[in-house]
Amino acid sequence: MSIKNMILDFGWPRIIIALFLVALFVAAPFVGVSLEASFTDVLNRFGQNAVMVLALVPMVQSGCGLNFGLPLGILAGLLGATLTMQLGLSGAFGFLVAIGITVPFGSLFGYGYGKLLNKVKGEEMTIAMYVGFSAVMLFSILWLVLPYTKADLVMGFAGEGLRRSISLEEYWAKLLNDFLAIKSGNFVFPTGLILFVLFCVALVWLFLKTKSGTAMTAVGSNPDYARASGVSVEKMRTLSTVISTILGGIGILVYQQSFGFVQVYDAPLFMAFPAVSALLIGGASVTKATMLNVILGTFLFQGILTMTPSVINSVLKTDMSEVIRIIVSNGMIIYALTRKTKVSK
Amino acid sequence: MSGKFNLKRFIGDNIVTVIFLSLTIIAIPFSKLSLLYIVTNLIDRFARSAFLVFALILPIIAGMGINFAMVLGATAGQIGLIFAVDWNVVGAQGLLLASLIGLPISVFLGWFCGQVLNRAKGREMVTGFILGYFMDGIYQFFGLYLMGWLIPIRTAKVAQIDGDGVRNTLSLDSVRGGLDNLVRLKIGSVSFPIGTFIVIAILCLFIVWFRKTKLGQDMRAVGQDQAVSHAAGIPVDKTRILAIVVSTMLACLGQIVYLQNLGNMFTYTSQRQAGYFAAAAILVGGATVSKASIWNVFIGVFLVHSLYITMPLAGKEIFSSAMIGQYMSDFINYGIISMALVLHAWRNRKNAEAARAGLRGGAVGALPAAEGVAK
Amino acid sequence: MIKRKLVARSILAVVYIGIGVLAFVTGRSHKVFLDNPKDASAYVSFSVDGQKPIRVRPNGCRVMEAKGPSHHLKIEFEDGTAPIETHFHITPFTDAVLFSVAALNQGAPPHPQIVPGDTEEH
Repeated sequence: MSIKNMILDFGWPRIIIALFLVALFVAAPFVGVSLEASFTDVLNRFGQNAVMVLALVPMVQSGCGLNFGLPLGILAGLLGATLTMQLGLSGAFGFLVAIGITVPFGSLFGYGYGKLLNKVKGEEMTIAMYVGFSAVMLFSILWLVLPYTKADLVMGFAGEGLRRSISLEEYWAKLLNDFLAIKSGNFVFPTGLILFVLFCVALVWLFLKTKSGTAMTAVGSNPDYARASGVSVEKMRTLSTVISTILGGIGILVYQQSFGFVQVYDAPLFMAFPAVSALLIGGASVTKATMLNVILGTFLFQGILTMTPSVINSVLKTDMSEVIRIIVSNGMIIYALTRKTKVSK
Repeated sequence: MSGKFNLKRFIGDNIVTVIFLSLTIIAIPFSKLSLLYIVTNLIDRFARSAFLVFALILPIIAGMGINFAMVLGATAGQIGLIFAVDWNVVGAQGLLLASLIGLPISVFLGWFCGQVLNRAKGREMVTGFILGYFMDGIYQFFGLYLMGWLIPIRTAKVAQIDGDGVRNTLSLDSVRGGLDNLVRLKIGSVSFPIGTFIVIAILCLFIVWFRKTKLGQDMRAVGQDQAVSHAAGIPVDKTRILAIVVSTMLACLGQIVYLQNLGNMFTYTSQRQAGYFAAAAILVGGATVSKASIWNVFIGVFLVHSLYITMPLAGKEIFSSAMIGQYMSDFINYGIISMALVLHAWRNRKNAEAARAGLRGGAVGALPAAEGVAK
Repeated sequence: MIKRKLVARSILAVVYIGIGVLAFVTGRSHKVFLDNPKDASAYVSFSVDGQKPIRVRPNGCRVMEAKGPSHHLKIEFEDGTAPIETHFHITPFTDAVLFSVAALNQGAPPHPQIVPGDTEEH
């Protein structure tokens, strides 16, 4: 493929974003921003978010589009985390139990979600978005009503509902980050975190190579052919939503242990959007996503989010990071939504 | 088209409205609010919200779904208001000036939005939604960085504490009630903002007239079938853009009407509420993603506001927690939109499949034609 | 044909801007300050365009809002001095004007001085 074709395929916005990030890194030392601290931050945030971005891939491949209903998976993960904490389990064991609780809930939610999406064709993404919103609100009521009793989980006295933000310090905060971490001066490489992320990525990659995985991709790129080959389109799509939702739950668990807090109520409402942007920045489209898209995209997106505030604020003495984040992430989604897909109606 | 009035069918067709109505009726006694209070509140809320909801009608007719990008129009209206307040132009003239400034901006933003949506056919709603967020970023850039630095702010009250950019909360006292109070009618203890009602009535007439014009008919044709309209010589893309432009302009005016009633503006977040609320209102009122009428607007606004008034308090009474009541309102709000969207898409699919089965002579198990990839 | 369209559009544009200017000029609200000097013997009350009068103590300065270009001012003295009535104009780009009782008593013609709009009352 000629260079020109590669550029066109990759898309100018992505190239601009990549160059912008490189420029930020280059400028950093000149404006007094520590490169070591920056790299540490970027790597941390990369690991923090990568699994949620990964969660989007199965649904993209199966033709369900961008999973704006990611909050469903996040809610499953929140259930896993809070229930585990309520049981008083901590450390690596607690984390694993949390995952263990998340998976069945995620499967349940994902299954219902998949059945719903199969009944609607057209504007699935908007429906996914609003279903996600509704679920977050429903769960907000649940967080208030479910009988959590542990002192550090609840507001006031037991029976008044969970706190907005629950600290994971006593449980498994930084569990993965600090595992086998490599320190060198100011730079800390969160080995455990990166290993876990790569492990998840490898799992998904392997899955996509299996019979089910290829069937899923076929359903997304050519439903007629898939059907003619005896594959049930509906079953594959449902499988993809289940996997997406489970991964979303695991994703938030990874995020929380790195961030240090479990956030309930409104927090999951808009969490799908940064993940979607990251995936798109990495080169994915509405119909196709690869592991490279996930890794590259998360790195670029989180890199921009980390570097922009520190570098630009040092130069302009003003905090433009929020504005830049909004424009870049949403602009990227619009770019992807307005591209002609290879399989058109 | 007379026939036996089939209650079951009626409920089935208007299930969203029926559910909402039932919920509200249940909530009223629990909220312990007097009917008079509810009605007075409703009139006020209707006066300020209706205009915005009307803005959604045209894009629905033109087949573009819920125009979540009406937020762009609301933003334009807010920009107009910022200038009107900053230049200390008060009362009705202030609102007029805000409109005159906001409308050209709306036209531009609407045109831009239409261009983007034309490139995302089949995914207009989600694209419009994200476009709204995108515009938020641009608007924040304008309000926080351009204002104060490039465009001078004349009134100290309008600026942030450090002088750069517009404040997060802007008091609209100078133009408050500019429209509401133009003509007021007092019956007993209830005061009606006749000025606003007149404006809404004019808007209704405008919409009725517009639908009869060639452009209006074109939009309807485009909404029903793009290919057929194109074959009939209708400039499909241009018509869609026009629908969005008019919708954006109406949203601009609607937001000004809304804010002059509230008297206070959250500079960077008020515009988003416009979109959420209007979408819920028109869907609750019985509109679908492809069909909308003036009735839908009236019914929807009354119902949604009734619920907003009663539900939080009802929730507080039943569960002794105001927060639960609030979350319940939000849940119903989002849930209703989800349900309306799902029902519509589901019904569309059933109709399409039935039509295809009919074409094939009723063959059972016929393969649905490839519908392309995810939208 | 194109020329006719251009002319029509230009006229519309002019009308549009004209309405805007009209709204601006007639809607612009100005602050009118009245300054009662330190050595005054009594309170003074003033009213612009028939609004509810405001009393100003000696060594005091109060403000009233006035909308539009032309106004009527009435000052009454509580020590029996004859009241002063006058008309005055404010240009659209002025934010605030100040009347000084001291100057008026010395026979200065009743013209307002232009002051910055963000002056605080004291």
